[in-house]
Amino acid sequence: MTAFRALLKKELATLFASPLAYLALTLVMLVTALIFFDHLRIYNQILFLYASSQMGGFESDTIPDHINVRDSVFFPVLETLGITLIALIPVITMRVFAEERARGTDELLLTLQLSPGQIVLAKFTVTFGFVLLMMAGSFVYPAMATVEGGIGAEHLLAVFVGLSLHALGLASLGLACSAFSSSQLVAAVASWAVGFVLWDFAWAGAFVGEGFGRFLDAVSMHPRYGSFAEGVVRLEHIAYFAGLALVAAALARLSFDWRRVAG
Amino acid sequence: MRELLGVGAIAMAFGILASFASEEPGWFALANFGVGTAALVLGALLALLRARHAGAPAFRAPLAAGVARVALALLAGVALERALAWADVRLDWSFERKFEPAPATLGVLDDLCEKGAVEAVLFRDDFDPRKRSTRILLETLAARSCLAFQERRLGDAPGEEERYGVGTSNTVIVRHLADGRPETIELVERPTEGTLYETFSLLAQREGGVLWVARGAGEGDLESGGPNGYSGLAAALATEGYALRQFVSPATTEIPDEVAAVLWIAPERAIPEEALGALDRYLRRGGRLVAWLEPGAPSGLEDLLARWGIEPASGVVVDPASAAIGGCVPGLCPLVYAYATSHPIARGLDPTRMTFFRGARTFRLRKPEIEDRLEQVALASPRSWIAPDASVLERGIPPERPPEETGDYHALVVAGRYVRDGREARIAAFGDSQLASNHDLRALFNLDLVVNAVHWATAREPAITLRPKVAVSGRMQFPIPIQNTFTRFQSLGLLLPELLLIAGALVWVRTRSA
Repeated sequence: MTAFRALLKKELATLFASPLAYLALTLVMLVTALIFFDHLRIYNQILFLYASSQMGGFESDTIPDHINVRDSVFFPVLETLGITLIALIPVITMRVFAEERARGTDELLLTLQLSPGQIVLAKFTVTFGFVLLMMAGSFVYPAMATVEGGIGAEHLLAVFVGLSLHALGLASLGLACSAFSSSQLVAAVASWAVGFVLWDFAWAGAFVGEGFGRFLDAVSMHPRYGSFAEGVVRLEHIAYFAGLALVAAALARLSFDWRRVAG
Repeated sequence: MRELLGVGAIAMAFGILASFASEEPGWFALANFGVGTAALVLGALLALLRARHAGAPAFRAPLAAGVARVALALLAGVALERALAWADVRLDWSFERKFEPAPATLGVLDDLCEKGAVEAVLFRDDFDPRKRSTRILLETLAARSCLAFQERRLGDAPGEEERYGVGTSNTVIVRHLADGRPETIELVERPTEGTLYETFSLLAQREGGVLWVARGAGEGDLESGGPNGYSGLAAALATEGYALRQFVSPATTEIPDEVAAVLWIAPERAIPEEALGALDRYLRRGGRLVAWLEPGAPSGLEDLLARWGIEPASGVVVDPASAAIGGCVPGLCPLVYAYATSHPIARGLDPTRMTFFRGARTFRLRKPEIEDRLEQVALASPRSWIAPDASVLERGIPPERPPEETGDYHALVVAGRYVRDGREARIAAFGDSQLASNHDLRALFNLDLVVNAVHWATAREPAITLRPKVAVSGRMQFPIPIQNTFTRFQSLGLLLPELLLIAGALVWVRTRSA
């Protein structure tokens, strides 16, 4: 247990000793704030345009349906941030296993009374913690602005729960890719590729039948976290991302055995 | 091997990108998928060859255990996901619980289900984000009723689309297969719970009785689709199963007992005595009346109501608690401050579910007989007072409150029940008619208050409920003050990332100098 705790501390120290962690935190918070503020500004302008014209006010059906907080602010934030995370998360996860492998320090870890399972658990825990911190940080400003607007942050919370799960799913994929490579660049590129492919299979709809299309829809990440944008938190979607993390952890654990075999 | 895998991944990515962009498989996408698949398969084969010594007995056991762990994790994940999908556990955190069906929707679906099978088919495009919301809504309704829900990709069933007139994505076809009757079909182009509810109601063909609507003394026009018309009210009542018949009051000497209720919307001129006499006799035989009165427009209906204990006061209700909403002069368009929640007309309404009046008069209640039951259903705030001159509505300037006026609750909607010769008469009276006009009927919860009053008058209390909104609900369209947001944007949205970036820069400098 002491060795496990020491590994956790070491992972945390390594993470925050690198400017990359701060850069990632900054980028996600800044991008969220800019996208949110920009969409909010446009939304308010359109609302006031309608209210100040001949339409008469906010109380009746004078404002088109599609101009509302959900469609004009929450959806675009979710979509843009979702794609930004696909690009950003692999940069965080690429070094986690690959760096140790490149330096040969992974062998050293195995001599410290730590099983491969414990190593995987420690690295997943620290990475997931960091990703959650990043998402929580990015949630602060939109939440404050929304609450101040008198709308209540419950719906927005659902959006960020979805985004956080999406980020954790991407981190899982990134960690699995990192576990199978000794090159950080290869790990990052592989994570981008897998994340991009798993993001949404809507493109495949034209090639496959209705039944297989539904299956592809079920394994895609976008329809899963997208439903959170509607304000609905469904446990099966949470289970999907938990399953993704579980499989990724099992794959990362397999990489230790694979390395012994493939060298 | 790595080169092949790299080339394969890049080609696949460009194939997917091209498919996303064009929303169909063009030659560029297909060529990339071909090259990508070949490169990936070849790369995978080379990788397997490289690891051929994995078959050695010394490696087989740990690898097999590892693969088994992956398979087990996959199986556990899929099983858990499927189990939870089957259990359909969900939390609705959306604004105003958008995916919690209203009792009205479930009620009309139950009616439909009793008569036969109900099927909803969603026609959607793969890239249409609106399908998500419609799908959740229909899935929710399917889970709570006999509704069978299916999806079709737009273009997959051209014959069906042609037959039903489906032209755009996110269109729903509702089919009802009633026992012994031909299939009935309705098309919903902007599916919300409200539009679906109205479609189900049309298919259910519920019978609410015949309503007589007065004409001939400058009343509101049920056929007019303009902002001041009442075609919206007519459509809403038809949706609820009522058959509307207009009658010319000057030519009316008798109202038959079969009439479920008489609606009298804002008469502007004097109603002939014969017509008022017919209405009075109809009420004495257990008739029902819903009246909407405008301030400052005497028609004779006021005297009849007064005989039934509902005395319309002259003047206009001024409520300082009501702001300049909907282009109104502040105070002259009262929002309901309190409802008599025990009364069926106000069922489901509370101070957060506001109704909005555009210039209203109030009523004083005085029981004609001790057994009669008269109630104030909706009240303006305790700060409200009466401006005696109704012309303030035209002047567009908020009237000054006289010093002696201290303010009091004023009834905006009242209801009375009277037993005469063993039969019960019912009267509901509104101090304004504009709230039922096309301009304001669907504002806030006006429609619910109006339709509930008709349901109550016709003794259809079980049908009284809040109706799902046809359009996006009002709170979703409220502005978020940009000035406050800008302050937050600078303090939280920009300052925090800036501090983090400074911390990152310091770490970088220290790492380089170490």
